[in-house]
Amino acid sequence: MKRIALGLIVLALFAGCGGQVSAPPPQPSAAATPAKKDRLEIGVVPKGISHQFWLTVKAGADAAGKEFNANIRWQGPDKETEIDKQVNILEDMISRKVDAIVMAACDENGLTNVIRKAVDAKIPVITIDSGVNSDLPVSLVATDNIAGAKAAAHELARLIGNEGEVGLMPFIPGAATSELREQGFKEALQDLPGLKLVATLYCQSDVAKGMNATQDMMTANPGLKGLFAANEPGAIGAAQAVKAAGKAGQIKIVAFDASDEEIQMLNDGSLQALIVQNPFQMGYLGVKAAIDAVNGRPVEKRIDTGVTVVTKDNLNQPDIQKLLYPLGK
Amino acid sequence: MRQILARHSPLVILAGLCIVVAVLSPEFRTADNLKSVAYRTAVVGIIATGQILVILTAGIDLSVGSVAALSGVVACTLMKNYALPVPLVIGSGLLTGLACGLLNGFFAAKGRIPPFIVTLGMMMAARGGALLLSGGRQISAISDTFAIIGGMRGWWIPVGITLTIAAVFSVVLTFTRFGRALYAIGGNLNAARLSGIPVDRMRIGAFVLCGMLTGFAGVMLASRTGVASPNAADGGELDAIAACVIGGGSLMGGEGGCVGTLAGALIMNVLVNFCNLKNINPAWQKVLVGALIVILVYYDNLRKRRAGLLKE
Repeated sequence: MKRIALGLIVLALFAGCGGQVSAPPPQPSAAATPAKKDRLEIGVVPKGISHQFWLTVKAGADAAGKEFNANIRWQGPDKETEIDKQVNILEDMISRKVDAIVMAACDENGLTNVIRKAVDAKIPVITIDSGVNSDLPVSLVATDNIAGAKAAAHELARLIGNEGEVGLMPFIPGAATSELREQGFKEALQDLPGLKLVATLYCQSDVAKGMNATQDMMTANPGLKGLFAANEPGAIGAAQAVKAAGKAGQIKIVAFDASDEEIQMLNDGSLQALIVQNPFQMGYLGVKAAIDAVNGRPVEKRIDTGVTVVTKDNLNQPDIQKLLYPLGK
Repeated sequence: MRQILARHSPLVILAGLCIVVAVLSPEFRTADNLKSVAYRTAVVGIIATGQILVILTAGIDLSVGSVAALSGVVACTLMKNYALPVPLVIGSGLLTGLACGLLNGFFAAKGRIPPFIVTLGMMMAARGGALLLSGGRQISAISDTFAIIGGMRGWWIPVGITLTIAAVFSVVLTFTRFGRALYAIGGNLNAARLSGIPVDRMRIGAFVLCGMLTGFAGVMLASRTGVASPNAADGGELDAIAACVIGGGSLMGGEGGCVGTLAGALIMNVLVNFCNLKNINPAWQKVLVGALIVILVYYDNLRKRRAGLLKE
């Protein structure tokens, strides 16, 4: 009796999973092969499947898939630090013989081998958002992070009147995007002699840790006038910490990205400026470049998707609204 | 005297560490900073209080980080979509934790699966559940009443809650049949069974309480950060386990307590706080904290052995 019950539970579990997983249909390869002739299959591999940023990349990729009549296979690791899982996903896509791969690399060195494997299998690889230390990918479709962080530094300088102590909150030491934004911010500070960088603390892409780090920054530097948070969890943590200290609006925060949370915080004055990337374009142009590469058309080696500085003043302009809500509100 | 010191060595270590850090860093001594360290310890302190109950029985609960995230996501989803009043929001988090704890306990005690495996499964499943339910997004938890338990209206509220929980469970562990049974089970499971302790029920009880405390901590975390994130408390299980062990708990079971565990959680947060205040390179922070954990536990064991408190 017990055994039957256990069997039923296991069956129910698998049935449940089946319902969830097979919704975006992973067709058996036998069925996919004949279909391949008229529809290209593009594997799109983000660094993480949560965070609005990646969901917007997916929307862009899906839009391009629809427009150019290609199937988009969206698969990624849970977290940006899971390099090994991303390698596994890519290897599965290579075994499945997708026509092209569009990917954001979790690590600039760790993915090179699997990319070589794809290229050897004649599958063109396009990197988006985060590139790799290699010439193998056809193109890098991404924000120029150094330029973006420089824009952040100049905006922060404007907000605090070109003078005072500032803090920097990158996210993960060693992650390419984090390092580039750190580098860009520091480079810009050389042209801004009034700004003094007093602390660099990492939020580890965790809201609570970002909050703690910001509190420590304020404690160690009571004269702190502003800080630059290089990604979304850091921005939310910093804003919450400043708010809890009763200093919202006094300590200016410039942050990367534009999630619903961050936009709300810009509106209520907890954040002063957002450096907004264009993840929709990364997904869209990434897939478009992949299709061009498969069809033998030329693709530029570096496609910049640009950044826009969004403040409370320009928030409601139609072009900014379209950038912030590519999927509609 | 020696015995008393050794019995409370986590507190002694905490006091010593605070003195050293206070001398090295004037910023550490400020009232605001001490408050900040106290209230950021609340979440991990509550989770670790649950964890020690399981560790006492020679078990382990690896799912607490994920269960905290899931509970936060469940609670905030309900609050956002159905405008549930705050007590019910907290209740939903507690229930989520309870359900996870019950499953853990049932499979560990009745199913005879090692707790390490059961809770490893729960760790993955609960994280996946949080991702599914939230669609991968952060859920905003902004409501003035809800923000209270996380300390946005007064640092002493989460700190008070944590101290109360630790005090209550200290009493439970020392003076109730259930508490003493947990020590007995961790000391020797078969002997406990033979002496008539309902071992399975007690072990399930430990997992259920651990789950509920974790569920509550998850809600508090969402309240504190203003968002429930499916990725919240990533690695939180290791922080909680480290707090238990630094606080004098033994992964072999039968040793440890709530006061020590809370001291263990504080020790870790004081260390990280110190590194942040001194703007120490994050790579060195990890090396420093990792090394100190091992040294502190070694020192703690040494003292206990000298005082004749440790079974060989």
